[in-house]
Formats: sequence, C-alpha cells, structure tokens
Amino acid sequence: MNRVREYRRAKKLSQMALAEEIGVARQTINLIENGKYNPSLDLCLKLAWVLDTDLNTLFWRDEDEE
Amino acid sequence: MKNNNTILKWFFSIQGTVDEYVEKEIGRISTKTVLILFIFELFYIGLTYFFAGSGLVSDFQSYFYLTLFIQFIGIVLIILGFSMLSFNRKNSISSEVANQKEKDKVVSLLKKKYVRLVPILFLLVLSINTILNFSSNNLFKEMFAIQRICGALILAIFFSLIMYFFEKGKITITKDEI
Repeated sequence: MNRVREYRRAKKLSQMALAEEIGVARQTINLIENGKYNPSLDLCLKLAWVLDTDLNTLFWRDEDEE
Repeated sequence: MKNNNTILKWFFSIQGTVDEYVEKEIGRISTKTVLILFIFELFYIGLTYFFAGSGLVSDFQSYFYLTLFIQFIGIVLIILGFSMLSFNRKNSISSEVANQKEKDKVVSLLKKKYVRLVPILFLLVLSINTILNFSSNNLFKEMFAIQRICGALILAIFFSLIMYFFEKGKITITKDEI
C-alpha cells in the first residue's frame, strides 16, 4: 500500500480537501489510499508536495508488507 | 482540452473533475468498445453480403432497410451498453458523494443523462418493434404508425423514469473522513 492516508490525516486534510489541492476527484484519492489505483509520477509528486513529504516516504513498500 | 473534457463529461455523465484516473478508464473502455465495434461490423457486413448473394432474398429494398436498421441498433447498443455501462460499473460515476451540494449536482446530472437517453431509447424501441413485426410492406409506413410511436414513447419514458429513480436511490452521502 502507501502512506497517503496516514500523511493526509496527519495534515488534518479531508479527502475532498486534498483532492481539490492537487486537482483530482475525491474518488481518485480514495482509490489511491486503498491501493486500487497507481497514480502517475506527476500525481505522486503533487501528493508528496501537498503532504510535505517525499516520494520515498509516501510510496515506500516494506518487504514485510508484500 | 477543455472542450474535450466537456464532451467526455457529457457523454459519460461524469460529475466533477476529469482527472488522470477517469481519463485512463475512458481510454481503456473506449479501446475495448472500438475493438468490439470492429468485430461486429466485420461479421455483420460479411453476413449481409452472404445473405444478399445466397439467393434467399427477393425484396432487396426491404432487405437494405432492415440490415441498416439492425446495424444501427447494434452500434447504439454496443456504444451505449458497453462504454457507458462498463464506465458506470467501474464507479467512475460515483454513487458516493461527500455532501448535500454534491448530491444535488449528481442528481441534476442524472436527470440530464436520462433526458438525453429518452430519444435514443425511443428510436431503439421503435426500430426493434418495427423489425420484429415487419412484413413485406413499406418499412417507414410501418415504423411511423401512430400506435407504434406512442407505444415506443411510453416505454422509453417509463424505462428512463424507473432507471432515474433507481440510480437516484443509490446515491449515498458518505462522511468525508479525515
């Protein structure tokens, strides 16, 4: 999975607010958080920027998660 | 790009942003639809030529109208049924909304969608009804009989109303979680 939900909650942003920040639909954020959609690099960068983190932290997959 | 999005939103009844996920889904579904249309056309035209040349057809004028109508129905069914319904099934048109304002927007889009569908359904029902009851008379005379038109219109309106209320009932307001 990824840590988008975790970081979004830490920033106290709703799915809607985050979606509006990066210009996508709320459903897309939901799909990304649930691991049902792999976003493009551009969208990943926007997410990392808005959530004040980097790609490694946000989308890193631990070995035990696999 | 903005015009493209307007067309996509209109055709697929998308509410909200046409983002990269929606664009990818539309691309995937459209490719499948085009492939299916191609296969349909290939076999349909092949069969039409086969029957025309087999000596089984005597009234070529009626045969021409009939095959064109069946082709029209096939194309409409493939495009509407395959592209729009599979797009709906993927939840790209979400039945989950965040608040009442969003719900009103979705309901208004639903209304527009079914107002748009009524004439298409009407033509579809009218064509199918005519083809099923077609004798050797003039096709257009049979098709535009007032009784047939009224029947098709009533069926199209009722079907659209039922589907509208069914889809409207499925819209739920979810908590926009933090």
